[in-house]
Amino acid sequence: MPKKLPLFLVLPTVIVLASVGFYPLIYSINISLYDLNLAIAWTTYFVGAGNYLSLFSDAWFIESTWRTFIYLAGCTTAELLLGLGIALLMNTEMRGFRTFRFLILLPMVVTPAVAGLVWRVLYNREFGMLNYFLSLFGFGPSPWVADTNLALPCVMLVDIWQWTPMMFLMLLAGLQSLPVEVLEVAGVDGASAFQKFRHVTLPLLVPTIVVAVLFRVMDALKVFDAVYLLTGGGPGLTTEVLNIYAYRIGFKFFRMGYAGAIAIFILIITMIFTTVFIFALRRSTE
Amino acid sequence: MFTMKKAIKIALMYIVVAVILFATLFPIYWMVETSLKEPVETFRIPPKWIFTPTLENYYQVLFVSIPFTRYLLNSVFTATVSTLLALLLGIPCAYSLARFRVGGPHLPSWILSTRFLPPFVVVIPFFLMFRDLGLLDTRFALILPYLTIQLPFVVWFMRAFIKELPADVEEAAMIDGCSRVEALRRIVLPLMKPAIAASAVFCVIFSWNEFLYALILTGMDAKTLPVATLSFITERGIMWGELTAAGTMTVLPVIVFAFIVQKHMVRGLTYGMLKG
Repeated sequence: MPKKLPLFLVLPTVIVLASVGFYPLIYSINISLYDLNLAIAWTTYFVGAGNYLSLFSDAWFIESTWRTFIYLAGCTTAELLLGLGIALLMNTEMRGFRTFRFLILLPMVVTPAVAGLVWRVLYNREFGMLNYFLSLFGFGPSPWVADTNLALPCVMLVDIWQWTPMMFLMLLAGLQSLPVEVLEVAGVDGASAFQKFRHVTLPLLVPTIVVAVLFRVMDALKVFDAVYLLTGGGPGLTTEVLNIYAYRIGFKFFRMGYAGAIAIFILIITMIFTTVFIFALRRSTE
Repeated sequence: MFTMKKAIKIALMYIVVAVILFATLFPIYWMVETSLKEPVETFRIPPKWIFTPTLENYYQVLFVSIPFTRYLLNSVFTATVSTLLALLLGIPCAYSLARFRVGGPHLPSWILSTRFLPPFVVVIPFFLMFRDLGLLDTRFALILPYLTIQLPFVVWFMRAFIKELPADVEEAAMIDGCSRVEALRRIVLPLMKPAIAASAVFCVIFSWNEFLYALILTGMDAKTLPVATLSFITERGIMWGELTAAGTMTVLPVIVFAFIVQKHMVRGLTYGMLKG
């Protein structure tokens, strides 16, 4: 075997990732230090931390950051509770459950952009099915995404519809890998089903939960497609999450430097979350 | 009494499962159903549950209103080329990491870290560079940005798989006089086939569903199917029939793919593949 073979096999990947991942990162950091506006070509000048300082006094930015956190916390909590519930329910062998498990996964392979459009059809005030179902129970039509108070929860519901299956699948895999003997011993001791879940299953499941929640949080920080196609950030700016705002700044106003600063801000939040979760994971597995 | 209680419990379980399935599948069902209705029927409330299906909307999408075939080919081209590149680069790397532990414990996490870059950190530089190079709105525009997600995935997915393959198999072959390269080609590669197929399918699903990079880096010529669905939201309103027909045609191949990789779904998710 040639001595350099192991290195030679790794090198192409390292070079490609350095050029498509790390070069853009450095490029982004660099442009975030400039006032670079493509709409007015002659305004490229160095502003140092100027873009970052502007973020703190930018009401749109602060609001979209809060909105992103609400989105993230709301969706992740709902998906965790629903996903855990469904995983516990489906963790038994019964007729037809194999097929059910596959069918439940379908929302998460639906193209997110298409998911946004489908829900746009369902939420429609006059012809949408949601209002039709409500009318069967005697409720009047709701404007859903057209209402400034309801729009954000409606957008979150699409996320919950699409990504609860992922939480379910990861938690089910976690449940199925738990040591059977421990659960059986608890059963013999005469613990009730709830006690068994609370004191045996749940603590053993914590590492899986931490990993699953981390993945959902990372994805929620990237959310764009479904929101863009369902509401485009409206009505008003009520559903404008950080990525929609970055898109508006960068590709509607063409303020690339400022958009770069927002992108780096999102990167910093991502890194903080990852660090916290890795810390939590270490503690839960000790 | 005991069996009665048990029967009620089982019945309750099935009812809950039915409710969950309804909530899960109704939006998909409704998309397909709307796409098969005459435009007049689309807006009928209460809806007609039983109707004569028509392919009119599909005909409009495929041959009349947008150059659908071109966008379909764009999607197929991007998915194929980016997936092949990811496999070609990623599998040798995964093998080397699994067997020789090149770069110690840090190299694998370094490789994984690019897939956690926020989308705008990647897309703004590519937009500016491709603008200067005249590559915006070409079929090549999406391949490099997609590799930031696909390549780390292939490396991690395949590395985990190769680690589970006993190293003795190759070593035995090598003692029998095969060179390592020959042992790889004749023994390891055939064993890896199912895992390679699964990781390829995950890469294709990612590329097929991706929207943000395609929205920014492509335009009239090179746009992929998810971006093409925007054409049906017009000044005069939303063309619901055509929109849902295009949506159905976009989603259908992915559902078939998902069925194929069902078994590998958990590992695929652990490396976060379904969503960019």
